[in-house]
Amino acid sequence: MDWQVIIVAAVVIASAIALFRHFHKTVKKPESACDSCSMKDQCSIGSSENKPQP
Amino acid sequence: MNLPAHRVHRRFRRRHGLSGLPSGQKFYRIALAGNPNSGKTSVFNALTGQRQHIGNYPGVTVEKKSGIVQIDDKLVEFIDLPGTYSLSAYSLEEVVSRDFVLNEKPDVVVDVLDSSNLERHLYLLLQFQELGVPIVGALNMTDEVEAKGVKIDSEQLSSILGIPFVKTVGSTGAGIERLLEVALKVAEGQLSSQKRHLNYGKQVELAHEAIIDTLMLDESFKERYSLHWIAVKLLEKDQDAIRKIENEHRLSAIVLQAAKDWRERLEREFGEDCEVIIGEQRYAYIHGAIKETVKISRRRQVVDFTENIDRIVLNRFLGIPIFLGVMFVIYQITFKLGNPLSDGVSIVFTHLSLFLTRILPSGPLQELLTNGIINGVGGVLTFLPLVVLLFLGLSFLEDTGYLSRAAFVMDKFFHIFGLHGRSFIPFMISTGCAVPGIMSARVLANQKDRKVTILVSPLMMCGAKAPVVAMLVAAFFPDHATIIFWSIWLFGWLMAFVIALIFKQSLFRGAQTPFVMELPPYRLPTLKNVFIHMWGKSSEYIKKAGTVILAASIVVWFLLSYPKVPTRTNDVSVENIPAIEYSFGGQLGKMVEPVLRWAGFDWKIGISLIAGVAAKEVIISTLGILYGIEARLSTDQPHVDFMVKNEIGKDQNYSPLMAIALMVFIMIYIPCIATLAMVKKELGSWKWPLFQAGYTLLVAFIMAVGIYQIGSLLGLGG
Amino acid sequence: MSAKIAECKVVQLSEVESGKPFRIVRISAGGEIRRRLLDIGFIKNENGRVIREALLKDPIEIEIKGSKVSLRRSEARLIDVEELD
Repeated sequence: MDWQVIIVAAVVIASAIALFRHFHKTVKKPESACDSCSMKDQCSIGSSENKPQP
Repeated sequence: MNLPAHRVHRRFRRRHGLSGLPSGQKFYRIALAGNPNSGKTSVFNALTGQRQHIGNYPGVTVEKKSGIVQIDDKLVEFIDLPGTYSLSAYSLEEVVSRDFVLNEKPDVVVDVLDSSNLERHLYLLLQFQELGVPIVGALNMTDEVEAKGVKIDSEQLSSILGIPFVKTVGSTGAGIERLLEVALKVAEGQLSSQKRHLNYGKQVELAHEAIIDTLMLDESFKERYSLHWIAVKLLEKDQDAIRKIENEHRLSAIVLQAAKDWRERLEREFGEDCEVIIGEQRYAYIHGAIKETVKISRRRQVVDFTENIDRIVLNRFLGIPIFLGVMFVIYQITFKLGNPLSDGVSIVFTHLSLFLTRILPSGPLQELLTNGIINGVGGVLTFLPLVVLLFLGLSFLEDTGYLSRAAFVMDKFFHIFGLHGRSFIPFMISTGCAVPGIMSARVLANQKDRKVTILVSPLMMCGAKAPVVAMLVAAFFPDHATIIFWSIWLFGWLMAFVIALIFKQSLFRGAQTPFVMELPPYRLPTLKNVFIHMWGKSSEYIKKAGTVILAASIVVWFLLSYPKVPTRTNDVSVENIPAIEYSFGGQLGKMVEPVLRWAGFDWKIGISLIAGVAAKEVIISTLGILYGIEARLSTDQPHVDFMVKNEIGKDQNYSPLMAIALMVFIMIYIPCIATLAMVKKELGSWKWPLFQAGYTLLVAFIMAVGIYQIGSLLGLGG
Repeated sequence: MSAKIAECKVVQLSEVESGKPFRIVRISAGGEIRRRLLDIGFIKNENGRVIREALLKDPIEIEIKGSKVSLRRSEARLIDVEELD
């Protein structure tokens, strides 16, 4: 049983960290939510050079 | 060799960083410009080899896209400038385009023109010529124009305007090689592209020369900007040009005074505003050029395909009902085809789950894999067929050009609610995902319109909410799935309108912006495009499931499984609590339950909704995990019936009435984290997403409670 | 003997019926709207045709400079045209 607990604990902790990092990245750079999106080339995502209107 | 741009780009950056170049390698920057609907995007695709969506929507491309391609010994960067009709100073896209050319000084600008609309498209080209950058014209959509029996003498046009023209068909790739060849020749200086070959009439020329004389008084200014362009802009009273003079020209007072004097003189002579004078001169110049070069060789009675469809689709009375009907049909097809496929996927997961329970000893690992991962991720993946079909339908609509029609039909409607017809675009995109929808709100020049559109877009049904609603609809309304789903979709639109109206009347009162909008002709999308969309959407959905949702499911599983009820304890209060409710997640759910009860929700739904803020699909995951754990606890057998929709339907605590309240709640309440982050980015401060989260939660709650309570009173509950 | 100039009726574009052709006489818009109209091709002496109107007669679909354009009624009011046959 013990080895199971270790594996599970490792997976859970890794997932929690990954999740946290994902949200942190999303908050810092919201367009990264588009990275896995199929429409990304079509819609107005882009360069950080383009600043949003004030 | 033509590697996909993003791969070359990445490799290039990794090897050389931004500035390093291997010796002997030439580097060129080519900017792509053109009106919206010129087919610029497909030319960009063909040049960069990057898979991009070809839409028929005016105003979608608001930002610059770029790609780097290796061609023989040259490295070429293509930059896709925003599609604009002109280079005035009135909109962000135009200013972005002209600033790019002025500051970044690309080697060539390739202007993509719709050959069947040369007059309007050359209007932009002339303005680029004024900027003083080398240009190559791409006479795109040559196939359509020739089908209409129109012949364009590109050689003549080249000699009149002084710039090379190449005929292309962007959608098939014809002429692209030649276009690239010519563009590179111009970039390398082997072919000339007249920087200015324009004559706007004697009087304007006189004024123009005089202003250039004053501009030359500051030597350094000449280095920074094309004087011809500044002179014309000053005559047009262009605010951006005036600002540049004020800030950067040493003798700005003299320049501005001269400009003013000459403007007044021209206005007296022509009896018109200078901006109009110059615009008319441009058109006159173009008209002359076209007369020499464009010949209609045969009078073909080409049935105007577009015209005939429009007669029905844009009919004053039928327009909106047709739009609603079209969407209904799309959902109908989605469900009819998608449901059997969904069930199939679900069966696969069920078997997988059984298999794992057989080969693994029982314990935390087995539970993690079956209850956590398979239930969590599998639940979401069973909706893959539905979501893919849905997106396919939407992009088909967009590719055909129907959606810009719909914008026309909806504009008055939007106007009633205080919104601009252009808000239709962000809304439609938001029915896929609110994140790009919010970004595309940049097409709205009016800031108040834009804010309202952004605050309200996430109310639409999106690609993440769709599976959740589909699941609930299948569980509680199996016989009327499509109509209920469609109604919820409609409800999303309605809420968006109503709340927009409220905002526009109260917090965001403001004037309207001009609506002028081009209506492109209908086009039949290619099969290749359809498959690209399907593949793209599928891989996106799977990727999200395998990453965010996987991680979230694991964490949720953990929170719902632990802490476990201690088996040996003397604490009586603990004995009778069901194990799940003892866990972290359970306790959290229990905490919010009392309030949620008013809407008919219990703690399980509560915890699912909380988890759903991460991503709405996680609602399904959480419910799946919950039922898995419950089943395990009650029977100590593996969870056999995998489908969440069956479980939730069987739950005695729930009813169709509650399901409606729940769906309404899900549609409205707090947008997912990605959306909130994008709102903050677009509007500049956290107060906006906070406000958005707050108002949506409040409205969602009030509506859900209202529906449930009133429904119960009416005896609709069950 | 003075030549009789035909009486041309100048109306607002918003008043022109569906299907009728027109020629632009004057644009009384200013600022951004005027620029937009100019960019799309609404200039003096340009010919065009009103194709149809949406529900509640707003917006209006117009053919000008060879392609179709959509205008709000309030914008069309700023364009004075001469109706042609």
